[in-house]
Amino acid sequence: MDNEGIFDVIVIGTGLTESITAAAFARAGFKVAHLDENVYYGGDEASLSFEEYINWATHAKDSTQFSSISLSSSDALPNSRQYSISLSPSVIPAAGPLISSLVASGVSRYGGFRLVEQVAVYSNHEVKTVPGSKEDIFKDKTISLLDKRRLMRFLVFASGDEDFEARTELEGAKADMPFVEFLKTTFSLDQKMAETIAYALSHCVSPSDKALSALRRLRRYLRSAGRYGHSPFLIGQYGSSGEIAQGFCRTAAVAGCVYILGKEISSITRNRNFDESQSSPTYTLTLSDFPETITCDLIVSSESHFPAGLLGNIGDILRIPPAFPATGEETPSTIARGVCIIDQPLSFVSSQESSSSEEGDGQESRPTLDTGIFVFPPSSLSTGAASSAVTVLVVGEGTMSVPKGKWILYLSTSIDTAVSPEQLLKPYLDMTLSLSATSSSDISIIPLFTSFYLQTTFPSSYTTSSTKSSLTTSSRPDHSFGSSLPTILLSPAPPNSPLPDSGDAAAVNAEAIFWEAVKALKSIKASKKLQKTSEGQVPPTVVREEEEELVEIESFWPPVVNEEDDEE
Amino acid sequence: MHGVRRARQSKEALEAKRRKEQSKLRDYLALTDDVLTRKKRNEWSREALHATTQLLQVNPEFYTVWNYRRRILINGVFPESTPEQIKDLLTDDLSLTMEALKIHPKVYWIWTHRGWCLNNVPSRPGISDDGDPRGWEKELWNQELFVVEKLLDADPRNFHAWSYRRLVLESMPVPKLETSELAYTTRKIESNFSNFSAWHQRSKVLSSLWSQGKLDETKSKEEEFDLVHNAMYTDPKDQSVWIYHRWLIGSGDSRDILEREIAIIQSLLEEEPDSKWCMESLVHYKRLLLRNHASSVVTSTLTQDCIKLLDQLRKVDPGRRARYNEIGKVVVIPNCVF
Repeated sequence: MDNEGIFDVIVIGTGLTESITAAAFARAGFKVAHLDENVYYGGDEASLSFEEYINWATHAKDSTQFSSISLSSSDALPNSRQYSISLSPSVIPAAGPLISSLVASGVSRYGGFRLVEQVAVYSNHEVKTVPGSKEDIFKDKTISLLDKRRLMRFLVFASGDEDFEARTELEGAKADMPFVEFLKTTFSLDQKMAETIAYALSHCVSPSDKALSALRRLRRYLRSAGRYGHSPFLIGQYGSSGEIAQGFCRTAAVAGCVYILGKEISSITRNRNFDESQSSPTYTLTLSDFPETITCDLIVSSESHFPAGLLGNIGDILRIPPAFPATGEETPSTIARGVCIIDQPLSFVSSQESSSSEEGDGQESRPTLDTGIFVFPPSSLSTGAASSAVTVLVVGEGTMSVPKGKWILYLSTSIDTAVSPEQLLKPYLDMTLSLSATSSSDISIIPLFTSFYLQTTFPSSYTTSSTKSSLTTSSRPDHSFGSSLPTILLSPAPPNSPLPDSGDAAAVNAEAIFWEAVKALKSIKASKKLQKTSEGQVPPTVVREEEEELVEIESFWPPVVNEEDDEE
Repeated sequence: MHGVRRARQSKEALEAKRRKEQSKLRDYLALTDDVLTRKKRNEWSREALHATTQLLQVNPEFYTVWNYRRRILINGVFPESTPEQIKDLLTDDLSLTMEALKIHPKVYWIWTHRGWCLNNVPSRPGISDDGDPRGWEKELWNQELFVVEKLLDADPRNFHAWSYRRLVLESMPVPKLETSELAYTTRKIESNFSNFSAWHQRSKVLSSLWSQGKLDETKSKEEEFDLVHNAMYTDPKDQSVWIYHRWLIGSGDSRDILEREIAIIQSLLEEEPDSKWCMESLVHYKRLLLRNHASSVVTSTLTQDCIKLLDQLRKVDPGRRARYNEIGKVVVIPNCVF
């Protein structure tokens, strides 16, 4: 019974960032406990069955993250368990930190991934597929010759290897110029083309997004194209982000991480002051309806889920800086979301494009899609109120998150003033359904179910009462005992937009926390041993052996060792 | 492989590897010796055949041995075999070459052997057919088309495969429709137009369709110009596109077409002022105008244009400046533009 409740680190919340971190800790050999007050994995990024979703919507009133939740009906559709509705849907770039972590940790083997088939953009009552490659541009009959040249020239520039800041195209103050303006002036692209690039290729959020950061983001996506297929984006089956978080939790559990779900934390006590001996654990946590207390030397949590009010006396908090710095403007902290379920297929190929194909089978059928992204540039819809881009993510049965014959549409847009998400997003939903309907008749698609809500990223202006909370990652004094060891690591919530970034941001943040934690834990362990020897409990020779035992952790995930001959 | 730690090999392991390679080498040389000795004495036995199989599996580039193998089959094995047995032997050889092609898709001798096998299939009715006397050949040639298509999917620029494809299309007892072949080239070009072989095939198919009157040449050429403009503007650096364009222009008989194309290329040059291919093509086409339509163009302007372009070419493509100098000398001689 002695060692059961004693952990090196306790991770609070099973969102994607924390799940990746817990898995990395467990695989590196630390004793980890992973807590979540919900009974499901994934936290704010969870994927829920239909009934679970309805349950969540009805009971989330106390949540600080979610608000203004509306449901078109409180009855779940049949086959509830075949739905996996994501609270924070996202797509994964085919090349990037998340995919690397998925592969290196082995979590990618737990489930499948689908490529997003198409990206389309809204323009003047039309839906237009977005060319993403040289082949697309060559074949596109709606772009003029001159525009093809200019677009290609820009894409070659955007996918180049050199640092953008060193390029002549960005001389002067161009780096801070709004991206759309930059495209028009430096690359002679017209408004429509510039908007397509900015909002549907680079996934900018607002017209003020700056050129340099947009270019860097675009390059990441361009480099993802072609890796697993034409499209740069993958979506995890069985419910994207929530399922992936769960996958990391599974791998953590296999490596010995202890999971406690559905229990709220009732108290967190710091056991000693900074200067006292370090031989007892730093924190003791009690959970409601849970008999034992659990202890640890380090706490890891997301900023938004950290139960700050519960701390006895606050220790040193270290905040990990966000992975992808804000897009030039202060990132809005609230996103309006919509979930819509339909039972008819959609198509992004306009009838003009499909009827000019060579085969000409005269069927008027437009190829339907299983997964796709449809982007409304800011202010593109006269009936819409959004000053940010609106993204519609369509997922079908191929993603295994919806029964056969059904599709989920996820709508999202950033907002900076309080609005009703339903009022804001409904015109976009209606337009999407009317433009993408495949039957040539006028019957518009009627959704089977809709739900809207607001999701707020916890403001990072959280203040503590401790004077030591102003530690930054750069200035870290190197003591082995000492008062400036952080014992609480907080990660920023992943950005809610653009769509493809939250997963990669989670992976980058997780790795940053991991290394900070390793540093902190090593120091704590070393000082404990030193303490033990100075108290005469352990002879010095044994200490040295144990120190060597502290395995050098060289990489985020344990490497795969290949013993076979190198045969080509 | 990335991210995989190489297990450091001990001295013993390296030594063992070297010894393994030495023994492989010895086996190979012994086998070669054996085969060539049999060949010298014109042995056509089954053992000889088997020996060549072994050797060719290790080294399919050994064309002498392919030759020997064919002579064994013709002189030794076929005379003693029924047509069914011959077909089976040839089918075996097709499998052998197929395996070899997967690893070495660009070895001439594997392709020629395959062609030889198919050309030696006895004329017999096949299993499914309604008494078609060339049934076996039909089946095997149809399969060949499928094989070549798979290889072209894997590497669309493998000119061996394209050349073989032409052989197959010619030899098939029931020929494929040329219009469907045209569609095939369209597919390949659309998936990646940086493909000399696909454009080349297209030119062959179109020429054939035009000469047979199955496609209206003028209209078809217009569509081809349209296609090539899209490629040109998408990637002006791709040489295969410019070569195809030059084929379309041909000897420059139509002044209208020449002038139109010159204008289109000129616009592209304005967008891409350093494009060597634009400049080179403009010089070539203006010279065609000078040669074929001297009476209806302003020769002095065209000549000046060429001189200016050649100047720019020397700067942009200094490696070929001697050639541009030569052209410059010739272009100013009236009535002797080329």
